[in-house]
Amino acid sequence: MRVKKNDIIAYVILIVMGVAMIYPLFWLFFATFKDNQELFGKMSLLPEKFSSIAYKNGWKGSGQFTYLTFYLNTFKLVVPTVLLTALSTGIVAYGFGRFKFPFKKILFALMISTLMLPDAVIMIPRYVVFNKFGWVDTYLPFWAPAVLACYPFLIFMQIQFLRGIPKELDESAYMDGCNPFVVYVKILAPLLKPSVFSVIIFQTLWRWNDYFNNLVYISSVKNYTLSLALKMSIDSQGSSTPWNQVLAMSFVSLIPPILLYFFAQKYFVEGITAGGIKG
Amino acid sequence: MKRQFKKHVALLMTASMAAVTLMGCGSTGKTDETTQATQGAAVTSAAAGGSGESVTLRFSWWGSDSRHGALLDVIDAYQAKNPNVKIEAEYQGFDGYYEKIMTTLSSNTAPDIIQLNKEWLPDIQGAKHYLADLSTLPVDLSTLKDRLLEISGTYNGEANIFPCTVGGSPVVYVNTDFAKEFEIDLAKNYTWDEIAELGKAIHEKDSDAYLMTADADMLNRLFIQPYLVQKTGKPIIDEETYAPNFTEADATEAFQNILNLYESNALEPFGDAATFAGQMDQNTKWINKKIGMIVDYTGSAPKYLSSVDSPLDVIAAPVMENAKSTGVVYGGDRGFSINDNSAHKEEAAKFLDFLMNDAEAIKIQKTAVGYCPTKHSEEILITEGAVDELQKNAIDLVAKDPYINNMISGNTELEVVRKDLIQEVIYGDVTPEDAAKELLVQYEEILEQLKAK
Amino acid sequence: MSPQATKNPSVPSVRKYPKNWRWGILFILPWLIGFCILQAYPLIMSLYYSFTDFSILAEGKWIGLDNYKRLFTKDKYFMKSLGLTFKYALMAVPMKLIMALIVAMILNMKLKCINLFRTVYYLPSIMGGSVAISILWRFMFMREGMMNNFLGVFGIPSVNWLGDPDIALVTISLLVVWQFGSSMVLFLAGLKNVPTELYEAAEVDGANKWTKFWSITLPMLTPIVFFNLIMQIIHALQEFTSAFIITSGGPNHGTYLIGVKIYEDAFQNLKMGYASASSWVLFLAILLITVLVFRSSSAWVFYNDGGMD
Repeated sequence: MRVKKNDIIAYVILIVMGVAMIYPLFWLFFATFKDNQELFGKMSLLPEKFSSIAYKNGWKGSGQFTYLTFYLNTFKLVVPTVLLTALSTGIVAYGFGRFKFPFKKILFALMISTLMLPDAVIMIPRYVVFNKFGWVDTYLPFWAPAVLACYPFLIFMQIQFLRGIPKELDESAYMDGCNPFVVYVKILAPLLKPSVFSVIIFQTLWRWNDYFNNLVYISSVKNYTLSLALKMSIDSQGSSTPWNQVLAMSFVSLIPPILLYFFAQKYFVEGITAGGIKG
Repeated sequence: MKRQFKKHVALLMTASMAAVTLMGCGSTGKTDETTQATQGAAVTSAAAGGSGESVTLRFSWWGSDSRHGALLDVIDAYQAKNPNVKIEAEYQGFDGYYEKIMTTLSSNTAPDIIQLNKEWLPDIQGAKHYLADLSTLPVDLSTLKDRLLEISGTYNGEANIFPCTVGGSPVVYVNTDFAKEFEIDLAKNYTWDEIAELGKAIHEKDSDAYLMTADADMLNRLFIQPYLVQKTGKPIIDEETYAPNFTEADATEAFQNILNLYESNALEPFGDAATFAGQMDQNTKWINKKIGMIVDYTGSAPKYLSSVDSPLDVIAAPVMENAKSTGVVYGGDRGFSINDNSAHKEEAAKFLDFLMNDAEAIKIQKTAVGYCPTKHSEEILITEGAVDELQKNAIDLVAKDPYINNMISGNTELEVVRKDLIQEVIYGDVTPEDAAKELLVQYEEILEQLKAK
Repeated sequence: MSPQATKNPSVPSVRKYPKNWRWGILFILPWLIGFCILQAYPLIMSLYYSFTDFSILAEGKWIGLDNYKRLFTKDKYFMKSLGLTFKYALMAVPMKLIMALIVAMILNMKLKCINLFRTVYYLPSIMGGSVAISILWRFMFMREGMMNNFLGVFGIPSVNWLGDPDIALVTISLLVVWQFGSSMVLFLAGLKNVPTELYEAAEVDGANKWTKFWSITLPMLTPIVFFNLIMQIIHALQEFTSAFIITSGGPNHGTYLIGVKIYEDAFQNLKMGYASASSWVLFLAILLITVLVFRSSSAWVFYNDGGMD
């Protein structure tokens, strides 16, 4: 009986807070059915009438390419980036988390410190580097940093998770004659599932929504991603913008990250309990 | 063994660092080849530029869907006539466009044909000879309306931008339903004081309603600057001496004028309007006919037209009594430039000529790219019935009696100082007198630096 | 909470782990190479720019410490925006972390439809800093917007959320707090990393929920709390998107965070050298705070691995 009471309290909190948090998103969703005058002139949640015209017209894009192209491009950019990041940052985190080596503290500090300078002043020299490599207008400016684990945030995060796992576990395996790489793949990686999935979720979301890097490195419209496409028809300089289309496409563009999150959750839930750690 | 490994790592680190530094340092000049190759422009025909050989041009612009569609159609039409030319369109919305153009210009990866804002010209061309002199290229500049090139496309005596629109500011867009409701006489030329009085009467009648609204940027460009020009009859800064043409008293008066408009409730409270900064067409009160007028550029007509269901009218901006000038500027805000580093300047110019001067291209674009910058475009489009009346009326208003502005008066740094001070005055942080004093002090410093350059 | 932490049975007594540092270097090699060829040059260049009058379009002249001097003597907004940024971080970071932790605790319960709830609470974060968000936030917080309408129901007078320079900063923070999803995900993952055996052992000892939270859950979660804290601080002190898309730093510089100022200086005022100088001052400030938090961590962060070598 006691358990039930707690559950009810939890439900009440979850629902009240959830409604408050999600109401604005409902409003945005219904706004995709309103024209500009209704959208900006009225406060009502529900539109005067429902019509899928914003979705239909929005999907067509402006000019040469439909959102199908932008969708595929985004996948082409994001999927390899995310997978490579998950591999590379995991390995680097293992190196930092479990081994002793010279200058480790300095290197770790250097790694974290690369997060402390605003992007605005890094952007130009970084463009210069990528341009020298001939990577502009390709997705290499996104893939290469993923291969080379240039995401300190995600490395640090995985170190923190790794440090939550008792060392005896991998030590005993090492004593059994496994080399450290095998230990990582066979023993630690399965235990680190929650952290690996966090990496996947975060990196997917960031790359999916990233605007400035895409803007700078991608110049051909045929290579545009969703984040660029969404702003493509907004000319704040005078002409009017079909906001319902922009909002409609914003929602459509978010479906994959939402699905990913929804289905990846179970890996947090399973977590370590399935692996079974003996202290 | 251990030591050797350490050495290798150290070596690797220094080597890669050095490599990047070296590559990074030679960022100008000798990088053309790699750049062009990666950017997809055809390197093969670099020397030729003549007809027959295949050429790829990159063309970048910002805009909305209608402009994208129109320019893509023009490109198709040109490619059909010139099968050897392939034009790659790089288009986007306005946000981030300038950042991208600056980045690509400085790294020598900029497109061949570039849409630019007139305001950016001094920054770009003043830094380096990035843009080609159009008068040396096969593009007919004589078709442009009188003085347009001189006012809006020339830097240091060189024609760098082919203006793609004419227009000006300030004009006042009026919601005619609002005007009827509050019995506003639209045939009259208002003074600032009359606007304040009218606004006061309206707000007294309906406490939800205001005559006008404006954000900090609009107050700066469409209220303060015209006010100073009306007062002195000259651009705010003298081009020769780099000295302000207005006095401290003039500036005090200009700031005080803004305060008067707020105190009489002619302007919607600044804090409420600030929510819609840069997007006044989304202002809820304007859409719901609780705000009757917005002062803006002629080019904003489409934005306001589609924002409300009432018919709009346009009237002349307020002036002061005994004004020495209307304070109205006229010219072209935007235009197209050719990258001076382009391998195909001639071909780019030929396309530009087609885009702006060819009757077929004009008919395709209508006013999606800009409002009739050339003499014949107006004729063609009026016969076609493609010209919007509100915009035409707005342009007729600014074309009537404008003053000639100069480049230095539009300097970004000077504008930022003004914009900051206006807000401080409105929020009561400083008095108009102190703001005027500070304005001149800061201007002196900035102008000195600009002069030194 | 550290006394309980040290009692934990899993602290290793013997260290037989490979001390062989070559493996360590090998594993961090990808990052090391990435740092050298992709990250080092931009960092060094931005430091160099800070001593020049580089403007993106024109190559800079060396002007020594002029940029730095100007920041502290002539620039009337630099200290102001630094102050605003700290104020913002002090508001946004604790609010966001506490919110995320509480929600994660509830979402960690075994309830029906919990997957759906977890998704719902993450949705705002998925929206990121898009145009949709800027429209939404203006609509929520404009004078006659949703928030004031809602407060009006309870008879609370309307608040000038975006028009009052002092309140606008709070409004901006609310956006960041609303998007607490990423911190929540980390807490959730961290909670799942707590071995159930510990709870079972505690239950045998007759511990109640509250004791279990303080002596097991929280200590086991400290590495994640620590990580979230460090990252949110670093992020908040550079915050740009929310202030830029919603208020562009206004009104009257009320939300003129240092990140916005740096961006405006760099790209709108074409003073990349000057913006780089501000960035390096900011860098030092963030570094200092981060080091302090790191130092403090030995007192309150509990690691299951018995300490990183």
